[in-house]
Amino acid sequence: MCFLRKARGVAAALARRCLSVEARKSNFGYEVVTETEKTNKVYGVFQNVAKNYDTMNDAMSLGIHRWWKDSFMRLMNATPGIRLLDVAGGTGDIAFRFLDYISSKPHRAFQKEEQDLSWEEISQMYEQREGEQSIDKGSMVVVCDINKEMLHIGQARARERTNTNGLSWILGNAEELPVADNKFDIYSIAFGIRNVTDIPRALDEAYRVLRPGGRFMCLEFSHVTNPVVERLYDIYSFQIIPVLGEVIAEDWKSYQYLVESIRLFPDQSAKSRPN
Amino acid sequence: MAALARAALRFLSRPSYGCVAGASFLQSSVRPGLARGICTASRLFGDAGEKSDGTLGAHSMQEPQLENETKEAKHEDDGSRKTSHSDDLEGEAIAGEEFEEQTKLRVLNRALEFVPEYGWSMEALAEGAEAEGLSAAAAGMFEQGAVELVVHFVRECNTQLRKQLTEENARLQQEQDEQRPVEEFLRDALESRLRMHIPYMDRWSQAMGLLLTPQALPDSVCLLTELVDEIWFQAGDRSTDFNWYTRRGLLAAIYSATELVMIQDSSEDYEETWSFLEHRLANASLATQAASQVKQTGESLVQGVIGAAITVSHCSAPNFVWVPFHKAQQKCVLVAVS
Repeated sequence: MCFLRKARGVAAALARRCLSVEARKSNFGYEVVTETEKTNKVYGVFQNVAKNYDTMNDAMSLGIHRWWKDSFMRLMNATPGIRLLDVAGGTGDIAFRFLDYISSKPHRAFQKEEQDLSWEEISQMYEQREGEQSIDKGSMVVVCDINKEMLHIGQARARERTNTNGLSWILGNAEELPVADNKFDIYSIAFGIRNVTDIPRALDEAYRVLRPGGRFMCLEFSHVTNPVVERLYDIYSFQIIPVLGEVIAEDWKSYQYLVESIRLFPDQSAKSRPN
Repeated sequence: MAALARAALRFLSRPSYGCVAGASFLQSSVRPGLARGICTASRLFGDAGEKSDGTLGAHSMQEPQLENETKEAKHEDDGSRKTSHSDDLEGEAIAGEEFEEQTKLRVLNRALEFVPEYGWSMEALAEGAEAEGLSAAAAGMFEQGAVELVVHFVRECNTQLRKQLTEENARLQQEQDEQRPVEEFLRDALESRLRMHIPYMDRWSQAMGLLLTPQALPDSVCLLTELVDEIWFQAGDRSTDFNWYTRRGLLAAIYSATELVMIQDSSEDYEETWSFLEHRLANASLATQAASQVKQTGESLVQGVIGAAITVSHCSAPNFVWVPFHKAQQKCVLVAVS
């Protein structure tokens, strides 16, 4: 009898411990939720926001996100033959910029070097350009996103473009990429990593799929260093952006989440520290 | 200095509108020397990790090797000594920086092999990285791109020249031979230094152009002054008066002019270049000798000034002659002829 009671007590304690291990807490904005809940909620946010993703980004950064993405490309400084994995890049902003950058590179280099050409050389150049594909040496970009809606938007945009050589789309979770080891030269994640539930796991995955010498590039909102600007930004973020969200996309909560997630993401110095 | 200016520009160019938080880029590297210096300084003030440049990409790439390194170091240490976690992190940061520097050197040295084909460019760096077994994206380590490659090459040439001259002087001292006349020494030193450009002569004009870009200018000026200082020092110059400046200034001018002559020289083994060099040195020696020997007589002073003037005029505004510049494109350039 007393043995049975003890066994029940032990079993109950074990069950409690198991449950608490499974129900690890994470942050969904300022709300504390379990990790599985966070994944589902983030999925829901982006499902709602997908159609107006660009408008949302414009609201969050007053259109400057386009400059940031262009800067990002210049920093990436890709040479032909580079393979890029763009994670959480459903709408394809980074991927399209990458394709444009690669295809414009030979022309830019050409312009820099050869200033005075004879007419024969110019006509040769035109013949060459017609013949070859705009991407040489097998450059490719794979866009991976967890959210189907975002990928649909991206694919629709791709159909409107003329140059999509080497572009492909996969549905996948940044924490568990459906990609083999040592495949890519550059792993980029633009405005996506703060939405990932288990960031260390996503980083491990990045390490796994990158070749030795590969680059990990992350573009993300961060903290404002100037206190005056910070206060203005806070007012803008918490008072204006959700209202815009309600007006533009009829979704106050999603924008509230996005603003809060920026606040909770570690700031610049914490991110660059090795740990 | 250049890295500080770059960092300052990057900070200032961050948009500071109210809604913009400041995107943070995690990228491959900061200039290692500067980063190391800042790391050391911040450690001295007890603030570890302020400017550590371990990005996740570079750091995670190094993790397996670093783990091995730190394990070995611990075995070597006395087992009873406790190392705190922050010390481990600092140790990792230092080891990481050294690894990064070594990798950069490897890629730079390898990229030089691809310069004749791709020019001084990111493509050459990417090919160098691939040849070293790394991904082509590793060339992204070099923020300034091709400029870093050229600066590295010039620095290597200067180091090689220094070694050569030191060995030669040591040999002369041992054998107790007479010191050669200064002019001859300068001529040989400059010739051997310029000969190091010969493998890259087709692309050297591009390199010279890159060295004049704003981001390269501090480095290239430094390297030139180091070069002429080294040559004069090895030649035996121990002056402590204004001669120090005139000598180095003249030699820098002669070197630059000879470099320009060399890139368009199509003679056998660059003979025209070496004769140009000899003539310039002869003109210049009038200035230096006269200045050191002058007994304040007007004549020798005038001679010295004329010598300096001829040198400078030949270097900067030469007797103009059209000579072929680029054989393939049939371009011509005005060049000094003596």
